[in-house]
Amino acid sequence: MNFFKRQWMVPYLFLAPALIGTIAFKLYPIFIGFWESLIYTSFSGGAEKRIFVWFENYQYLFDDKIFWKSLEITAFLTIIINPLQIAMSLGLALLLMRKSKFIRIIRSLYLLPIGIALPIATIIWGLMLDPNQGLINGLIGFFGIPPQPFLVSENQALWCIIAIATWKGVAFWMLFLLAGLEDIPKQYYEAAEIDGATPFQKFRYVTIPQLKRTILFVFVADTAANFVLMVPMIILTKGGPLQSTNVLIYEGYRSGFYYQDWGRSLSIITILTVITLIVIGLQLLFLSEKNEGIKVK
Amino acid sequence: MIMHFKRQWSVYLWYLVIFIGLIITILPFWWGVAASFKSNSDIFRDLAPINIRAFLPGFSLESYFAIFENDFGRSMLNTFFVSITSVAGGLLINSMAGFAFAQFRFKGDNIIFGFVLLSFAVPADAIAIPLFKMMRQIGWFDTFYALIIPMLANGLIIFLYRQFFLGIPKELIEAARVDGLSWFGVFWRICLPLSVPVTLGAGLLLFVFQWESYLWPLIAAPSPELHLIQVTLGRFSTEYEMVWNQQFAASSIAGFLPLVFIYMFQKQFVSALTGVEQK
Amino acid sequence: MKKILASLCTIFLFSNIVTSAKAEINFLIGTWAEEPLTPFVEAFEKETGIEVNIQTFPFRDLLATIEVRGNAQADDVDVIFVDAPLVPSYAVRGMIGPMDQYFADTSVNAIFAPAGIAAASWNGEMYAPPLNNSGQLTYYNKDLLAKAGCAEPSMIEAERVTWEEIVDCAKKITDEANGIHGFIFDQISRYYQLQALPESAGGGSGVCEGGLSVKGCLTNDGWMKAGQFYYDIHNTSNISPKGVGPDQTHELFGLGKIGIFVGGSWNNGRWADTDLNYGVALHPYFEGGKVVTGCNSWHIGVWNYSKQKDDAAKLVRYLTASPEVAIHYVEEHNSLPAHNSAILHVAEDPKFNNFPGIVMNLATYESANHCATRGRTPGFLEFEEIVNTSFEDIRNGGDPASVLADAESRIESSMRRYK
Repeated sequence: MNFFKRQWMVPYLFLAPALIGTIAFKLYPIFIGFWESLIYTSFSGGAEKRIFVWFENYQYLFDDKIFWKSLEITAFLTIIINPLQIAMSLGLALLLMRKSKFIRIIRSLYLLPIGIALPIATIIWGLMLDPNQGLINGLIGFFGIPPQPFLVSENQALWCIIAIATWKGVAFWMLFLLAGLEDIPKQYYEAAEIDGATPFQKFRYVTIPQLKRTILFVFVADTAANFVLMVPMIILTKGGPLQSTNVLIYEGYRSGFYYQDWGRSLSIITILTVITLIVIGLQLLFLSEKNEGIKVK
Repeated sequence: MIMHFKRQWSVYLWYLVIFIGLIITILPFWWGVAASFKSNSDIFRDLAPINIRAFLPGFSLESYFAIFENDFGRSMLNTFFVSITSVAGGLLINSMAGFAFAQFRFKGDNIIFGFVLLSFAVPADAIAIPLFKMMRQIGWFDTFYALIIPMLANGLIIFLYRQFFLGIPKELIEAARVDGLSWFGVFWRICLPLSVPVTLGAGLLLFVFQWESYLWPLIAAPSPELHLIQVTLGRFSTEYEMVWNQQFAASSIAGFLPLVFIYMFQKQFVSALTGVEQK
Repeated sequence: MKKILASLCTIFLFSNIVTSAKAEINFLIGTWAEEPLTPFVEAFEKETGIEVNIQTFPFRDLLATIEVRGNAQADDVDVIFVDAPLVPSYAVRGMIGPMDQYFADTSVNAIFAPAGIAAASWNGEMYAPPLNNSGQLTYYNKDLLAKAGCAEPSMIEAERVTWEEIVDCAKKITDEANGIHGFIFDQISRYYQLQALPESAGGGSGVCEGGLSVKGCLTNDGWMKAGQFYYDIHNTSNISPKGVGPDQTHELFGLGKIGIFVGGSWNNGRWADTDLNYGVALHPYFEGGKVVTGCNSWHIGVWNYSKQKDDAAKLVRYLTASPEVAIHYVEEHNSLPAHNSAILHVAEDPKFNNFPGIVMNLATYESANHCATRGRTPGFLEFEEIVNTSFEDIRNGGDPASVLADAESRIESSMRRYK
């Protein structure tokens, strides 16, 4: 490799603009946030005192059953919502690969939810899920099912939020999967067909391996997005009923912006960030392929 | 004959599934648009109890006039300016970084990539306050700089490009290098042109980030001249009530614009498809 | 294309520099107050030569913005809107300063009603004088009440309706199959409105004496009775619907879907363009209990990190102490007065003796005689949030005793910061 005298600088030059932005506007504030999570602010005696307490805020959290409940709900939500959204997006993307006269218009219509901002989607769904007169209760009544409480029930609220987020999210992630599917050379399928592959075999041995990198991206991005999902909680449930939708990000948000307990808030956020990193790391570890990039020294 | 029937049957099934899916997808949107043409009390009259009128648009344009009196036009323009600048700048710097991660192994690459992951694992609202203080210190508070520049570098987009560039055959790049193309030339002339669909996806991501951002523009740029669309939407409520029809009117317009973008996107997809078929 | 983009950039960036160049007083207010206050702020600018830059925010955003600016100790804020119960919180955290010195030449007691002064003060000093006030009344649908054979609630103190009577009547009205419910609260599941329940049952505000603890004050008999009452109307007698938010309650009442609506004075005139046949009466109380209603509204304070405190204080005094502002609020915006001359105006103007203007008169009476100022604590932000979610949990079927006990321990633990 003697094309370029300062070969080792090349990747860093490519990285520089994004890296500077990341360090200045993401990593530095993250560091500050972490630092603040080690500080306890007291107003006793009417004066503000900021005390460096090491991990006392965290210790306080670990003794708090609300935190544990919140962690449990976050784990449950993560386990349900991510595979569900990925499976539905992939299913929909496959459905929309079929040739049809109307395919362009059908695809466009399926992408509608991307245009509706999450707060407004949440408000609309909130009205549709109204336990008294809502549209959904009207519809299921048609099939003889009694009216359901939906968002006001401890057992159903989280599922409603999953439904809202999925309505909004599937269209978005489907778009990436659709692009990935379009990218798979048609010859692969033809070759498989000649070998007498069933549709399932084609899916298993052509589609999945070819789509792996796209799926990994969508999986990671979707997971990160769902860890910070809180708009429906802010607008509809406030973490209730009985804390059944009180995910970590919402508990962190309200500890800070509502309770003004920034030490607690930022401790929760730090823990959430670490969890997110671990989950994303695991996804990368298991789904990533080896990167055989050009070595520079 | 039987084959033919079987084929027909699967087509009908496909249409049925697609149709049910479409209803679920469109219904809330349709209802919102219909409601935007009604007065607030009519919205609720049609909901309680729910009846077919809820899905028929009203005839009132009152909410549309009201939102444009409320500076909705200005905030649309602002959001466009901010989104387009962010998309342009963000695509360039993040694709370059993605290229570096995909094509090279260099000292510290794994650690740097780890930091990239960290940058999108942390919730945006959580860093709003330190970022806010920083904007004040460097004098960007309440300017367009605060809305655009911190949002350019985006770990998710870097990651997206890295994933895509990993799939470009190494032989292609080595051949170009042998032909004397610089690394930037490889990036600009070979890799970027191949990545049209992924660039559109990334562009949409960046666009939607700005289109949906609320807390950051609210605290970083409070002047009315700098309001972005979600901030303006949030203002269609008073102390004691929500002005439902204005909310819906504004979001109908706001939702329509990304759709135009997506429709353009569609065309690109089709050309990407035909491109593959010609290979 | 490039040229257009470049010129766009210039316009945008330039317009921005222009706005930030002026030196002036920055005034953070709620969006709803822009229209009423602007003419008076302009008059103030003319009179004093001080320029005022009004920045408006919706309710939740206003609180968040104040917190963020306070956190950064920003000096580009001079005057802020203060929600009455947040006076202790802002005062203790040093975000607003005491204002007695700016009223030294006059008598505060002569200008403002006592409830307003109480809400404006902390530890014996006045921090943020009141701009206006609020009150709670009983609104009822005459047709639904007549159909159910209920007596109409009264405007006369001696015949004030009780919660027990309301529940009895509401049971007769409720017809769930047709979406009709007997009763609803306006600000449902919000402490502001529901505080009247435990107060009437003798349970107090929920905050203990001194404002630094809630131990035993959220779980006493009065609160338990209130919690059980709130549980019953939503889960046992089902006279009040679940799932409806505070944004929607007045719409339902306006549509004739609700028999009795206990709500704020700001609803006066709200249903003027509907064919609703409604009446208004005094606020309910528990039989044998205390008569109490919610009250207080917005105050204005001087930002402690401001560099122009004297000018800022002039604006605060101009807006709160002028009778014209208070009377304008009454006349044009159905807002109850905290200013004595506007209170007098409501009592004397004959139009406030007939329906619907009488709403103002009744609410002023309630507020003057039965006002329960919200719990006075520097931890009000967390107190209110937790109490609100607790009421919502009870409404949705949570056991009142355990929900309130839980709330008490959560609030108590977050108050450790102020002790």
